[in-house]
Amino acid sequence: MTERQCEKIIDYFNEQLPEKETKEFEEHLASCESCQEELKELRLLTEDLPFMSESLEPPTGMKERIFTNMFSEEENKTTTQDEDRNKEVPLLSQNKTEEEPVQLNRKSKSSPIIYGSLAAALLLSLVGNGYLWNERQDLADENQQIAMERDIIESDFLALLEEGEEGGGTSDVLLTSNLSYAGEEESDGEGTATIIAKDGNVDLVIQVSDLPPVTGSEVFQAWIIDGETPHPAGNFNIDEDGNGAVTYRISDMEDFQIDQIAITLEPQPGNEQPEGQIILASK
Amino acid sequence: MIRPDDIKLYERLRLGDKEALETLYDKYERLLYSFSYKMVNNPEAAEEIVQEVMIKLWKGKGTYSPDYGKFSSWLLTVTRHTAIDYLRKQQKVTTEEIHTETELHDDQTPVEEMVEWKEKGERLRQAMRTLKKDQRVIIDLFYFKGYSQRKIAEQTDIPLGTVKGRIRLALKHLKAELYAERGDLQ
Repeated sequence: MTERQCEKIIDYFNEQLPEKETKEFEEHLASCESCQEELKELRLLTEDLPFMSESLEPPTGMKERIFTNMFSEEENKTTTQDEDRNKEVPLLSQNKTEEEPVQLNRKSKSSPIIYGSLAAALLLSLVGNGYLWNERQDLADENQQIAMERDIIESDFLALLEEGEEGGGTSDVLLTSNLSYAGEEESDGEGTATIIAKDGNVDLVIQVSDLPPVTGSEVFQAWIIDGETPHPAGNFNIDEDGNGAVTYRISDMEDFQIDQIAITLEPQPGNEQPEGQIILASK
Repeated sequence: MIRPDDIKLYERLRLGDKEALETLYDKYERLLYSFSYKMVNNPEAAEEIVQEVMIKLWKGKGTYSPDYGKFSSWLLTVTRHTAIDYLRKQQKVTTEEIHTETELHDDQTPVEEMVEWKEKGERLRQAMRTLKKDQRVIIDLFYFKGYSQRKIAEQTDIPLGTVKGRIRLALKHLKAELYAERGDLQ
């Protein structure tokens, strides 16, 4: 029994246990020193990880929206509950500087209204999207995978670039080739394919720009063409400006030669053979 | 990120001081938003999470105590849990929005925290790159996706019983790299 509880520490840490199991685990935790130690260790080992996030500019007006949402609701609640005392308090004070008279009355009152509206919003978004659930489920899984891999690739790629800039390190650019637009429709798009040797590995790094937006589950895929045979060299997606990048470790491939590099637009990620049209290709 | 006034601000906000809440918000807005975004990959959802964290802070749902360590660590844990909760409720209903991040911040007047974050982030990413791919994957699934043990086992195709050990190993490896690197720098 005890051992089985100890096995739940990861799910406890990630708040993945149902309420009842959480309670049971916490009871166990109170008396299990090794779990206490392990939990402490997990916290220590992970405390820096949030700083791995790239610093992003919060959306314009986020602060105003958040404070308005929080306090306009609370304001409403205060006035209904303490009507006699709060008559002169402005009902929807959105001006953050004029808060003096309200403050004394506002000792952390609990406001179920706010939680209620959040829950409702969440439910609405669930209902709204529910119909997509079945068909999208698998793709979502796959996309999640790609998103994660993209994060990793991106960091690798930035590292490669950094090293290149510094002039140090052990990376060598073996070949750079331009990719030009080869699609059927009138559109822009270009890219470069670079082969870099680093620490005994050889990577193909592809960067693209100005590619047309994708729809649905569509995804770009790079191919290494050896004679007539295409080898998949990674899926990637693009940002709003049509830019994207992918890295593929070619030193892991068995015997091959690169005759051409091509980018296609595939109907879904992970194709072994190209199905979609060619968007970019090297000469 | 440690500043003695975090705790003072927290105490003030617990007494209903909205200004203290706002000061804390201003200080951590960017970090909480960026971290939420990294977890949920969606700007609207990230904003919603920051809002919920602020509500939790204001309502005193979950209380900080110095036993926990730094206030910022606690606040980030609350944020992470809120994001995990969001991800679970959302249950992959929508396809994740995927795009290469371009909004890299270029702050003209970097505050102390920003500099520290930037340095720490670079060191972390560098340490992360020294890890084997399966170790990076497991850290991502465990920490940033907040998956359950079972789901991690499914995604990585490793036996359920070994998940915990793998996570710890990967995290320890990362920490060791981080310290090794720090040693090099000094």
